[in-house]
Amino acid sequence: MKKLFEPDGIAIAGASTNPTKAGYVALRNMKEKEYPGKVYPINPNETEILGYKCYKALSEIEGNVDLVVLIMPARLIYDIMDDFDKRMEEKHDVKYIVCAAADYAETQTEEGVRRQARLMQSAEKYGVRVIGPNCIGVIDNRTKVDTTFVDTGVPFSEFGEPTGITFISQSGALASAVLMEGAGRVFPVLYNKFISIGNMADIDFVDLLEYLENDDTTKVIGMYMEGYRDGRKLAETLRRITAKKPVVILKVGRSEKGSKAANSHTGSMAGADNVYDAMFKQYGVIRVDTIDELIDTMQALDALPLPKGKNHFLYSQAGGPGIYCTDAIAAAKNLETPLVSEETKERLRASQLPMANICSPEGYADITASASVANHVDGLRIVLEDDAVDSVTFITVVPTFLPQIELANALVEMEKSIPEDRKKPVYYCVMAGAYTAPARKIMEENGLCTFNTPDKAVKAADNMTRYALYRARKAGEE
Amino acid sequence: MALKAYNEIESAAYLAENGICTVKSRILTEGSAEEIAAAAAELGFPAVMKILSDDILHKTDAGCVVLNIRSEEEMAAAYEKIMANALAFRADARIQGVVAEQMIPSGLEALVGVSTDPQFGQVLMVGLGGVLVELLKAVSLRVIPVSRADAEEMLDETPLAQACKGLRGSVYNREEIIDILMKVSAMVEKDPAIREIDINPLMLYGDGRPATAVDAVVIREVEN
Repeated sequence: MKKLFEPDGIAIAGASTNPTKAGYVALRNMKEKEYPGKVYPINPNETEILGYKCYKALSEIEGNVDLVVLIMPARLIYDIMDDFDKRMEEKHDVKYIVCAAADYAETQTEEGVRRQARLMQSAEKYGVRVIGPNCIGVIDNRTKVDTTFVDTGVPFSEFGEPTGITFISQSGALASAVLMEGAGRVFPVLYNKFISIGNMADIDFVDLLEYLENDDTTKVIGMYMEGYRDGRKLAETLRRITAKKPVVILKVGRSEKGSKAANSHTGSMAGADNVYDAMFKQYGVIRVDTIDELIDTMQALDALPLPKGKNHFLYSQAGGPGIYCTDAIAAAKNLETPLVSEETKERLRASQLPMANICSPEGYADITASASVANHVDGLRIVLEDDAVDSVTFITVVPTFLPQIELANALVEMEKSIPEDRKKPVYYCVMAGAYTAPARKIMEENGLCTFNTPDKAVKAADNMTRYALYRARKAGEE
Repeated sequence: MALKAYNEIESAAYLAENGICTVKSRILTEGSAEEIAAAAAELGFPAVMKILSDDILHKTDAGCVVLNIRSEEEMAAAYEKIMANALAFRADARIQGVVAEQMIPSGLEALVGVSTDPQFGQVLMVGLGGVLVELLKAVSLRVIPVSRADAEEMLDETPLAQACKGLRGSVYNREEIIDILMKVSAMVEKDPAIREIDINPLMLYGDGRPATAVDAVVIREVEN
């Protein structure tokens, strides 16, 4: 699938000069990301769009085209594919089609099914692989390919380097939401690859998973799924991949009504949800329930080392949030209370203000609201040095007298001073809202994982630990 | 291909062959003194007797179950009563005989089963058994084959895990349940034609007596 993510020449059918149209936004995204390859808009009524020369037909493009993106209204598919056939007879160059438009077989109407059949007839004839229809297409933020028509509202320059997170979605709208929510975070998330697969007329979950399995830039795979026809094959593929890299899935259809809605949506058969759930548990897939949990968990898996075990310490600067978080940790299935050494307790006491609560109950410290930057950082370092601790949730509420930028920088320095092989995951909960965004941004830019509320931090910690335990178990079985 | 549901005697025999402890039973077809004496000698008392007929599904409703039989005389009387009630219930019922089986003491009722999912194939299930199964939904599933670690995790997802740590003075045997789950998984791997197994109840005792499949149904896919 290299040519899908690194195409030599992209043609866009349905390109538009109207800034509200998908056929314009897709071009603008590619322009803004400075995609270095050739882009060929197709629109019979225009000569140029956004500086790209416009063509009347696919068959008229002189240069090589590896990837064709179809964003035009679905009713035009017959003419487009006739022109596509003409090109293939002459040039034989296209390898991939991304059919972004909707109104194909997912409508379960005779006309919709016929349109999809027309698309696939030419694709099969020339051995061209198809993504979609009914999707938003693909993004590769390393090669700067972006066929989507999603406007995140965040300038591309504000994102950092691409993460190791690759996301596959059966729903285009949900894919957009994951893109947009990621972009809207304090430090915008730039996904590695992003694929919306829609109706899966050709390329499906398993095809992509098999590719991503050996894709070195993909460290974490995220998925939104409604259903897949070959459960056994999906299960076998997932089992193989989770032994190497984590897979996080937001699968819908838990309720009977939801399951019915899924069936009529992408037109896929959703199997019994409780069997999917069992399979996910069995094969080390992390199933999440919300979009927030999905992004939080993918980010944590991408940024942090896996914990060695279940022992999770709660290090809080505030009583109420600390207790709130204690309940969340107690409810988490994969987290347990560490018993740190007497020496650690002594060192902790010595590093904190006299009123600090050290390990009462065990596995918990409340360093109190008067804690200085040094109190925050020194105590956390001591906790991380104890062998009984596998991971930590850190909570601070940042009163006005606590310099947040200084705190953020000190935490980053502390993390950087720990050698790679001794690093443990820390889930930094910097409460809350807009006020702490500057501190969180600095931390995130430097590879730390931050959260605005304790429950989100604990969810990510629980998911990470579950996966770590699965990997350890698998390693033991081999 | 067609589905064949094995009757309770065949199903129990199938499970017994695969190392699962089942209730001892015999099929009586004559009701003669010799047949009764032989059954009594093998099963002991108390015993339960019920009709064996594909035409009578709800045996209790048809008056075709007798509990707590304590002597050969009671066994003979039960045989006559069950036969008479069966024919009264449905004169043309096909009757294979009367089953006599050990009446085993009550314990903690668990459930072990196999079902077939159209997408994932055979799925193993464990949980609390008895009549409240539907209500409690306290079951855990995994796709077959299951590993030992899977079986451990399954058990931990049900209230049986707590019972194995101690429940009202009884400590139920965790290893034994895991062993049965592994056996059922292996059974399906060996015989992929199995579509469904329903062991309910699997009676558990917290005192060293073996977990026993009291009632079981096996459904296999067979050649027409």
